[in-house]
Amino acid sequence: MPERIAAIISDLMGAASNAALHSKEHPSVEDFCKKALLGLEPFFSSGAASFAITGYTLRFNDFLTLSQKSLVVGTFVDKLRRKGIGKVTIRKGVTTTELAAFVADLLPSERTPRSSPRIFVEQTSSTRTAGTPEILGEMLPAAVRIVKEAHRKVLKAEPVDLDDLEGLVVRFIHLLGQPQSILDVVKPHRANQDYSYVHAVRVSLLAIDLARAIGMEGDPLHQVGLAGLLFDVGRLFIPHEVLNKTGDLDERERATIQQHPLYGAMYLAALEDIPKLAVIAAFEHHMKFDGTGYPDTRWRDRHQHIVSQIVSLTDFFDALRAQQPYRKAYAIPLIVKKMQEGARKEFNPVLVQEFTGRLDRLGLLR
Amino acid sequence: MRPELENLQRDFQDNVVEGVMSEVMLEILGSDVVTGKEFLKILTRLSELAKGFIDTGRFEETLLIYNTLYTHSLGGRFKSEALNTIEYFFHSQDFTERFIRALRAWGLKNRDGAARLSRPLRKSLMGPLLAVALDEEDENARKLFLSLLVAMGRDLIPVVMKALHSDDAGRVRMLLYLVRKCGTDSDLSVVRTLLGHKNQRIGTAAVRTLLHFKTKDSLPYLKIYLESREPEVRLEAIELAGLYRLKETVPAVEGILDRKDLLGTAHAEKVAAVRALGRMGDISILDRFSRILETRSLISKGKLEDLKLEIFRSLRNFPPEDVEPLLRLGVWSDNQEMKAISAEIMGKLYGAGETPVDA
Repeated sequence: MPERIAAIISDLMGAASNAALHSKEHPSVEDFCKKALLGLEPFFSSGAASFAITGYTLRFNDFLTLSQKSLVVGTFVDKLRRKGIGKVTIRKGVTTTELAAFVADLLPSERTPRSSPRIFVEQTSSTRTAGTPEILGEMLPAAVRIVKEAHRKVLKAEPVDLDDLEGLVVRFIHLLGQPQSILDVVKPHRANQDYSYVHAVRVSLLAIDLARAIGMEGDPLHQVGLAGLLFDVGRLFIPHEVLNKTGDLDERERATIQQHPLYGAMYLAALEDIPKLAVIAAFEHHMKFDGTGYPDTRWRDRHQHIVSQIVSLTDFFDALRAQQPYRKAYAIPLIVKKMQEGARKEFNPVLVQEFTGRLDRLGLLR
Repeated sequence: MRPELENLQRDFQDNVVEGVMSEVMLEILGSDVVTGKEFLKILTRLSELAKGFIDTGRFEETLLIYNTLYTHSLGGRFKSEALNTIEYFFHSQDFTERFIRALRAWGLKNRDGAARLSRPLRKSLMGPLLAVALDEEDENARKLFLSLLVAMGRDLIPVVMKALHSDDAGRVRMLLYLVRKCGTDSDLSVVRTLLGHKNQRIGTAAVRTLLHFKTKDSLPYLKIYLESREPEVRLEAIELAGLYRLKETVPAVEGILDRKDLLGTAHAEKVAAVRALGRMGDISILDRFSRILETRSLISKGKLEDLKLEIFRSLRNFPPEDVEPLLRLGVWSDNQEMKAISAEIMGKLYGAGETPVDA
């Protein structure tokens, strides 16, 4: 049964992909819709078939939970979430034209799908708009706990509770909606035993802020936030003594450290539900804008994806803002100077400009 | 939105993210750190991505996944896992159906990608693709399918041979085309059984195949078809004689040209005969051509003019010095094409722009 539903979703996503790549009038869109309709037909005996989402969980006909292990299911959930859709009910008698119009409306460039005579679209209850404004300091302990738990689960190869992480990202986005909240995020902070998790929280916040500054919104923005929370998870797989060595690393130790992006991406990719951008950022956050850096690649070209560029820039900033036992926190103007020196080499110059421009407007470069 | 920001946002499009995700997973599979458990999990996600790629005509990205797994199957740490994915996913009926559907939708736009992916998948693809090609009504799609099949080479022959036992002339001719393109003269035993086929169009296609491989028995069969009572079959036989420049058939083809045709019903055949004789380039026919050029007719003037024009078109296939008397008739012709052809060949004889004084 789940395979049959996944096949229907696969056809719907095939139609959507083709509409995106070509046009919604392309014959292949109709072909995929026809196939999806054939798959749905047996479920119409009870009148209708429905897809409902709660968080990242998809349920078919209110009882069958579909695993996001399947990428197409994950993509379908992403598309519904981006459009703020909580439930879609497809009734008996639906036509391929109606189905094609619905899947085409799932594309980012299109309007939010509306109900048609035989497709009933319900908007989600606004889970993404949190209520009371928060303060980073108050939110931080709980956030660190959630991130720590997620990292622990990745280390044990257990399913990560994505809803918790997603809830955190929603709160981050809400927090950053308050104009002055970014000032808290860029403050210097002392590295303590939970430094890795605090750092992940701060990188996530900074990454969301930067992604929003370049015009991202909706689900991609959420995925950037999740990528920020999970990008350095691979460090958990590196022996403690290598990771925390204070002196210079020898060649073998350096090679070991340089494997952490691979470990992180591997374990994230193998887990259900983890968004693609989180896997990409975990793999590429030590690649540089000019194609240097690590890990080495054979199949992947040396172009760092934008999510990884955002994460590596914000990672750099926050790492230098942390006061370590062996050095003080860097002042923002000094970090900005280093960023500008690294533009075009380590960092995407457009992102550097956006990020430093934002700090400048906050009066932090004086 | 500033253009540089639009560029950054493009990276967030689903197709870009899927492409990068696929490459990252391929990197992981090729790394030293991957364990068997993770290898299998990532293979599952990659297979899903490959389905998405093939469904949207992204042949190169699909091929990249296939090639990586193929490399693993040859000697990677998890070669049996990789091999199983190739066998049970890429060579599955489901994947083949998706591929063929994608070929129909995007194959013409991305011929190179389609060809590159169909080659490694030929084992499972050739049978279904051949079946689809034989039934395809759209000419462009059919040509694409046939070109992909041809690229599969000799491996295709057993599949073609199985399908040859058909009474549908169109299908058999397509199959014989594939035999000519992919086969050798050792593949002709089944083809020979078609020579006496009750449908002579199948017979002529079989003869064509024998002619292609220059077999000794091809010519006698062609001569039989040149004598066929069916005009269509005769016409095809004439075309074959010209196509393969078979000078041995000059008397038979000339005989067709000589036949009385008061009603003009054999006009197409006669034009084809001139074209075929021209292709053969046998100078013994030039006297016959000359006689036709000097003929005057009041009844079928238009048809005679067609024939004369075809003669002039064929003159390029003969040594210029042998056709000079005919060219002299052409340069004074009222027909501009005859005139142009004559001037062109005369130019080769005497230099461009020069004509003999008495012309």
